[in-house]
Amino acid sequence: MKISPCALATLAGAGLMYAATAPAQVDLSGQWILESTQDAVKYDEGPLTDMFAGIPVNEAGRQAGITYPGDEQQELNRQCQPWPTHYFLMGPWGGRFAAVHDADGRLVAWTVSSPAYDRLAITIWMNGHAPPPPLALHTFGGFNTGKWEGSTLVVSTSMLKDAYLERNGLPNSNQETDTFFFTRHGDEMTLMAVIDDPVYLEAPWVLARTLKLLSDGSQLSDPILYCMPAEVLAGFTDGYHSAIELPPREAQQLAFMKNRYDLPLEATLGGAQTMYPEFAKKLDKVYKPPTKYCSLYCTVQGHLLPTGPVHIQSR
Amino acid sequence: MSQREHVRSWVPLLAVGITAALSAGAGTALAAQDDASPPPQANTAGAVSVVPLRDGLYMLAVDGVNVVLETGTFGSILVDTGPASGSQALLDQVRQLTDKPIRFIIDTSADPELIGGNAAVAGAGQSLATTDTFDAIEVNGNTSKVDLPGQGNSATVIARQNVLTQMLSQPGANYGSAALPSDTFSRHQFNFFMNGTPIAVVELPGGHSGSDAAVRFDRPDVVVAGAVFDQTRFPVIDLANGGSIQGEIDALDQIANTLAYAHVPVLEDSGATLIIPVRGPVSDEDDLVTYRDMVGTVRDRIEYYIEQGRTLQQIHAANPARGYISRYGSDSGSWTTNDFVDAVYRSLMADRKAHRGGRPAQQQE
Repeated sequence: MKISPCALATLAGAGLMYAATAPAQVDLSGQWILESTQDAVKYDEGPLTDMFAGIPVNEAGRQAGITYPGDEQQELNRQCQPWPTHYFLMGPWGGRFAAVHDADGRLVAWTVSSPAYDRLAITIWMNGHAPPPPLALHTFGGFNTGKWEGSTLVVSTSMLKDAYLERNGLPNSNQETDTFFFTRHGDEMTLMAVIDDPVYLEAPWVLARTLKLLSDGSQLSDPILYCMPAEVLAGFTDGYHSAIELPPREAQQLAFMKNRYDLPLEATLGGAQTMYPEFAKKLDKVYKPPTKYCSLYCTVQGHLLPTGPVHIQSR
Repeated sequence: MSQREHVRSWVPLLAVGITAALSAGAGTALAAQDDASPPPQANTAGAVSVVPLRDGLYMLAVDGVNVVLETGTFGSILVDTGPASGSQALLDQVRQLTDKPIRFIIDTSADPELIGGNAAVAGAGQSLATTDTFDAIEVNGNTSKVDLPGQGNSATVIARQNVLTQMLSQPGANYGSAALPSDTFSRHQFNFFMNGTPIAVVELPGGHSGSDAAVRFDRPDVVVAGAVFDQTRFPVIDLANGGSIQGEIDALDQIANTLAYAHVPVLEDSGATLIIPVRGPVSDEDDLVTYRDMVGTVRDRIEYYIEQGRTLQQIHAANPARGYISRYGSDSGSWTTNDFVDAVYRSLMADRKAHRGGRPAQQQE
């Protein structure tokens, strides 16, 4: 959907007028699940290898993403690594929102915890908590401060670690900064994020997802914090996970989407232009989808089907 | 307007707009928040930035080079002293943090930018062996005085024997005696106990250089990695002084697998091992492993190209550091991306020569 400047201005104006009279703060507490029907394959199964379309990745990020071996997290040192804060938008889970008050009842912070060990509880400071020194430890959760703009909680995040932007190996740097907009409307909440990383993105990446309040009595799992690296699994190492003949594998990854879906590299390698509807229109004119193509979960007993002749597999 | 500026300009407006359209009547107002922001932490003094770590430990960035100060009952220990140009600022900062005398300096390599302040800092210190009396020895809760003979007025400099050898052999170097290690070791590990913590100075494989060591402070659980771990650039491989790319990866592996401890359960800011890189922010095992895998990836690419018989020039053209240059690379300064690629190539070629007894026929520089 293209958003015209007029529509933007109208929305913004309405928002500003509303903000002047809106309650300053909204109760976000509760258990929220992400609507998994939204881009289900990407968010549940994970994004496909070498599929960066729609992500404003720059050449450095692209190259690092292509290099990603996919089994890097089998290294013992990496098995228990959690994901950075931005993974809230990309993973399959929701989270528990809880308010933290001081003895006088003033809101000190919001905490957002996950039911999985791969994402840690995030603290969103609401009390003007001083930032850590720039040379302090950067963390997966980062340093988060929140403020109310109307009834939207606007969260600024910095001090993140070098880690992964996406599950397909696109990286993020420790210079990433994010802005999250949490807007509750009844039992649903819109989460919009602007992810900016001058090292690996050529433009900010804007994402949005919808959360739904668990109000039927069901519960998110308790946080799973236990994780011990397991070397009993074949192929797991305790050192650098040596990649054999890396450049040929990179070439294979580059060709993956082309071979499978006949998608042009111009699209699959991402970049700022691929975020916009104009790019999809441009692609429409030249793209010829395969007459038979594997639409979803193209696996046989857990293995991806070989490239070349494509197969249709019903779910 | 750049794409970054463009997106930045409209997203907040859109968010407010969506708020207006969707959020009427939602939620319950909470108590008013405290908007009073405390003043930013003062963490600089001259060219020195200070990050408190744990239990009397501080990271001090001296002209961008990280030095660690540990201070306690029996005095202070400095791991590395930074470049000579920053030694006065370093001493000024140390005096702001503690009035305890500097007893020990530990050198993690012989790099001028790491040991440049040795002479000034050692000269401002006082060895335990020079102290006539020091107090606050607690034995069974009692404080007593201990008398020691005075033997001089400078801190003791601990280092691997290789550090001393390398310092003395550096062309044009004219280190005064106060700058030179006075307590050297050639075994794999030098252990001692001070200020309530075991301290281990651990030999590392020849990665950055043949003099590399890491220092582990056990109780506060802090490891000083030295020059093998640089959060701001590709590692400097000093081939002339015993460095090698395989040693670099082995050294990072050794720190990750034997000197650092991951926290169970997995918690944010959990108190697991802090690792201090030679430059850049305070780090931990996750950061070190990310760095190690980056170094390993570049090494693997160059090794593959060598296998293919490509020349150094052709390898440069293939851009083997691709994907990491904007994060760790540089076109200028004392250690460029090309310098790193050159060093990895030469190190791998030297390994092949050593293992095969001669240079491969394909090599053409």
